[in-house]
Order: sequence, then structure tokens, then C-alpha cells
Amino acid sequence: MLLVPEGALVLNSVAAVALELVDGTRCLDRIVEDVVDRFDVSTERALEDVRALFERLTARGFVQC
Amino acid sequence: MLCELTYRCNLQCPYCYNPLALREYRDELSTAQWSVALRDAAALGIVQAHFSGGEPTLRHDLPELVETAARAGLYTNLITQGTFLDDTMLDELIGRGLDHVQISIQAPWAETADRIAGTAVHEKKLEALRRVRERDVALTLNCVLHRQNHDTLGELIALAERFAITRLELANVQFYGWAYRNRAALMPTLEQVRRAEAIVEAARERLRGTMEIVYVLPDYFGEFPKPCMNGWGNQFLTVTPNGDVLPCPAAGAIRDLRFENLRRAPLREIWQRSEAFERYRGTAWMPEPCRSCDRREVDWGGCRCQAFLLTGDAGVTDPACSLSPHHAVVTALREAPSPAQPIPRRG
Repeated sequence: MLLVPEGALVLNSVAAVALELVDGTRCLDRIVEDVVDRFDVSTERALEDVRALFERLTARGFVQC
Repeated sequence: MLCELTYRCNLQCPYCYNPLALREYRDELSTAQWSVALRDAAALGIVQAHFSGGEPTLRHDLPELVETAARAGLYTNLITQGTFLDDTMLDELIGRGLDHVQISIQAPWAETADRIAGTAVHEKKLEALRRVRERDVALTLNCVLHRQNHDTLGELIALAERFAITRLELANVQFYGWAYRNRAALMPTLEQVRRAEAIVEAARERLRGTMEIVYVLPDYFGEFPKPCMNGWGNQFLTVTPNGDVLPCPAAGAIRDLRFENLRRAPLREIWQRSEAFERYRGTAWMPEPCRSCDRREVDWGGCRCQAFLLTGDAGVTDPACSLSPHHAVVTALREAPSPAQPIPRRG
């Protein structure tokens, strides 16, 4: 669960892992690689999902790029 | 969980939602009692603690309570008017685990802001904003909108931009406590409300990705009521300074509800079993038109406190709903604002 001002986002397990991998140095491709290593998912699908996740999180200011 | 640590405050805003009978709340919970409540809250599944008031920084044990909450795993939010937020206090609070600060201002410039607050504090608030911006803690700038400052909305957004605010809350006044008493002087005009919608929409578009603007709609102007607390006793509780546990911060106004107190019962028992929480929980209590309405789990019948204040019965559909048989009360209030001067909140 990601706690934010006056709210909470319940993340699925892939989203939670992807967000934990954000450390200010890893690029999107690296994060996707790690996600593919840990979950039974194609690179194509993981890239699409992770990108969509970060688009939503950056739009709300929870992740900065 | 909203922790109203004290109702004491050095400001006198006429839109304050605190109860009129402030004196009844002077016997405040101790540090130990608040600490137990915070740990119990986390165990109950609560995820956030909002420290509010009155002015919560007037409690000298605030840093200790923030630490207790943070250690229990709660996201901690300080809701303050900022006038006591000096470097030392801020560093201590952040060091103890404070996640988020919300600072309120009354208007974009001192003359109007200080008149509304009843005391010269605007510049101090801006200093507090700067201090928070310099530190690693999330910040929301808040301003309550009402007839006396609604026309400054554009300048409020510009001020937020100057301070590089990433989250701005523009909250139309909600008519409880002192604000209910002063509603004739605070009710925005229909023209103000319409103009504000256009300004907010344009600003959101322009500032997308840099500033989130939370716009709390005015109470008496919508077609449907606000889904108060997302349902009574569903995901929110308030603890008043003396330890009463309320399903909504304004519920004290409902005279025929009796509230349990943390001095007599633990939080879990109050949440799960007390009469005040049980009475309007879920949908079984609903009368028509809510009972058969598709929106019954969207609006949750609207606000029980507003229903009580406007009709004398907390168990009817919120009159703010256009489907309510009492809706004429709201349209009358909306359309005939009188030019009365507001009475300041007195502490």
C-alpha cells in the first residue's frame, strides 16, 4: 500500500516491486528487466504495464522523473 | 484517524468547523491516552493519523505523538495554520517521522487574510511555507474558500506557483460549527462558484504534472450530496480533544447521538460496537429516496450532520441532494445569502 496525503493506493504485487526498484539511478528498462526476472511476464507486457504505472504515479506527483 | 489534539487556537477564523461550545473540550486527553489510541488505531487497520485541532502545535507533546504514530506504522499528517512552525519545531517533527504538513492560509495577501484570521499572521504563514519547502517532507497548501475570499482564487493559485507548491487544496467552506453559525456571511454566490470552476479547470490543465489541485466542491451547490466520510463508520473516525470518538468531525452537532469516550472504552470496541457508529453504518438505516437509489453506495445518503442541522433529523437524506424532499431548504439558503458580517470564532 502506498500512503499519500489523505489517501492510499493499493498496489498489486508487480506494481509494488516496480515502485520499490525506483532508487533514483535505475532507468525504466532496468526496472522492467528486474520485473521480468521476478514474474512470469513477457518483456513487452511488463514494459507496457510498468510505463503505464509510472505515468499514473508521476501525474499525481508520487514519482518524479 | 483525525486526532483533534486541542481546540485551542490563536486564530479566530469565522469558518471554523469546531463546535461552538469549545469550553466543554478543555479537559484534554493526556500524552499517554493519545499514545494508546494511536497504537490501537494501527492495530485496528487504520493507516493514517491526521494531527489537527484547533491548532495542534499548541500541544507540547506533538513531536512525541508523531513519533508514536510513525513507529506504529501510521502515515502522519500535521494540519496546521503554521504560525508556530519555526525551524526547531519543524526539524524535530520531521526527525520524529512526520510525513506530511498541511498549512492553511486565508487569502493570497495579508490585508484580507489577516482580517479573516482576526489577527496578523499571514506573513508568518508564508515563512512557515518557505521553511517546509526547504525540507524533505510532503506539503499541501490549503485555503478555505467562502464569499469573503472566493474572488481571490486566481491569485491563490499564483501564490502556490510562486512557492512551488505541488499539492494545493482549495476547499469550499463546509457549514458546521462556527461556519454553520456564520453561513449567511460565508455562502459564496452562484456567480463566484461558477467562475471558480472555470479558473480551477484552466489551472489544472496548465499545471498538470507540477501541481495537483484538490478542489472541494461547495456544500449547497451540487446535484448530489458529498459522500460524507465515504460512509458513516466505514473508513474514518475522529477523536476530539477530550477523547470522544466521532464517525465524522462534525457529528458532535447531532444532539441525540451519544458518543463513547476513550477514557471509558478502547478504540476497537467503540469503532465496532458503539451506538453512534452503528446507527448509520452501511445502507440498512436509509429512508427513501436513498434506499432504492442507485447512488446509495456512492453518496452514502450524504452527510448525517448536515441532515440534522438542516432538518433536525440525522436519519433523513441529506437535503443537499436534489432528490431530497427537504431540498428546498438548501436552495433557499443558496439563493438568498444575506450580507451579514461573520462572527469570529472565540476560543
